[in-house]
Amino acid sequence: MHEEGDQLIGRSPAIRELREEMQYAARSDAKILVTGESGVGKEVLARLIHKQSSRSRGQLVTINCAGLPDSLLESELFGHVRGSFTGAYRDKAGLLETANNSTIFMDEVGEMSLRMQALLLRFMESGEIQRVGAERAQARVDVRVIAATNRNLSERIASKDFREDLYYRLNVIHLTMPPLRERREDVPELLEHFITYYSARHSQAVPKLAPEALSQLVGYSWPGNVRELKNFVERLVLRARSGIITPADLPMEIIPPPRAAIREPVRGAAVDRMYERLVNGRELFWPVVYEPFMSRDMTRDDLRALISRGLEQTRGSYRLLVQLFNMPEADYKRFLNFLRKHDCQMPFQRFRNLSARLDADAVDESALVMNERRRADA
Amino acid sequence: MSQAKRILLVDDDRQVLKYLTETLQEEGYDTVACDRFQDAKALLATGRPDLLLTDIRLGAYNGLQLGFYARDHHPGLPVIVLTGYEDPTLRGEAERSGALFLIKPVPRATLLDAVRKLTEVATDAH
Repeated sequence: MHEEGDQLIGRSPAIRELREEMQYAARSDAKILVTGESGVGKEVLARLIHKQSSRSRGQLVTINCAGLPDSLLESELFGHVRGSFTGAYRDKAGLLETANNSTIFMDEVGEMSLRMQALLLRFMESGEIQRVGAERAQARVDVRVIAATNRNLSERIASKDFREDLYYRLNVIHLTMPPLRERREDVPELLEHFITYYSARHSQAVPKLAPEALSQLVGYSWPGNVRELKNFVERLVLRARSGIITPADLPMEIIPPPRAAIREPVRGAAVDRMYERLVNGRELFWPVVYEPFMSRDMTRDDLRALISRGLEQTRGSYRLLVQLFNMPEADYKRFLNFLRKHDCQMPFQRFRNLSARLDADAVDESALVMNERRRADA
Repeated sequence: MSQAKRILLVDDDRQVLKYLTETLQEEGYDTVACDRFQDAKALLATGRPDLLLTDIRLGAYNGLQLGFYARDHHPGLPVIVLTGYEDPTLRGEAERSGALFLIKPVPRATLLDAVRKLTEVATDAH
């Protein structure tokens, strides 16, 4: 599964700094919390740390904690004993026991229920494993925990969804993986790496990127981060017909639209009324828009027009759009899924540049951001 | 016969994927296969499968996580979860989610029977 070879690719200041912190983390045996957006490569970082650590002889055990019911997550982590419930014919060791003397990578730890957090905390404090159905702890294990999340745990703690004591247990060393848009200068190297990799894997000649295509790819914001870039490159390699990839070979969402195309199609009065109700009337998105859309009282074009109008207001930010349309922050994912599912998610970068510098070259812009950051750091 | 039913196959063992692909294609099914959870999520949307057939071990993920995801985002899509071992917790949760739970090695006839029944039900439901 990890045939890509785990490595941190790039020479940006952010990645260089991370590499140093990672080496320090590998020498230590402390627990680690890795944070960063979806797709930035938190598991890659965990693999590298494990590989360079004194525990590298053991296998890294990985589990993703999101979307698993408690009963299943508990039995996955702690195992169960024979007869603990109907049909438990034999003992089963959990992943924490499997990871004895090694490392466990627990992804999306921020999604755990409070009950599971309590069990994990107890384990972290004592190192003792109590299998489901067992009367007492039967083993003490030595496991290094690397936890990861794309959530803001401080917010989760404030809303009482995450235990503060568990947070401090996990957060001994804290590593943050930057989103790709904050290290755009690494995009060319990442592209080259994955183009070479996927060409070899699919036994194809290695295509070359034309400079204009490259600069568009560097300018793109990569909301899905390295994972998105990787999947994109695989599709690109599979589709490449000639040896050179030009802007014409790139998908729509990556190409910045010409200025004339920024305005969306005609908006009906219905859309205007809906927008009014949401933004000035403070009415809620789900009953005002979702319901008529699902019952087909609203067309897809109307929905697109409404979303575009909102994005103009928020300069391309979907997070702010969630607020503007009176949804709780927790609805962000649901909102995006809804738009994606109905093909109404508008590429946001066209709105981002709207008010500011329409002609600004995205590459220059990223360089500018980096300079500003460097200045701020100094 | 109407259009061939499409089955999304997910297993992190490529040998198994190959076997399942061949078996189902011989029976006239259309298949899409992948070996990673994240890819499977994308294929559920773009591949428009009529059935999801997934292994329980998908790297850091559990096949049931994919089953739950499918249930929430593609309601009505039938799901079969394959596993190498009997585990009542898994079985219970699979059944609660509406997925069919099969233990490997699954005899060819059992597998094909299950696939046929579930894809027929799916058609009726539409």
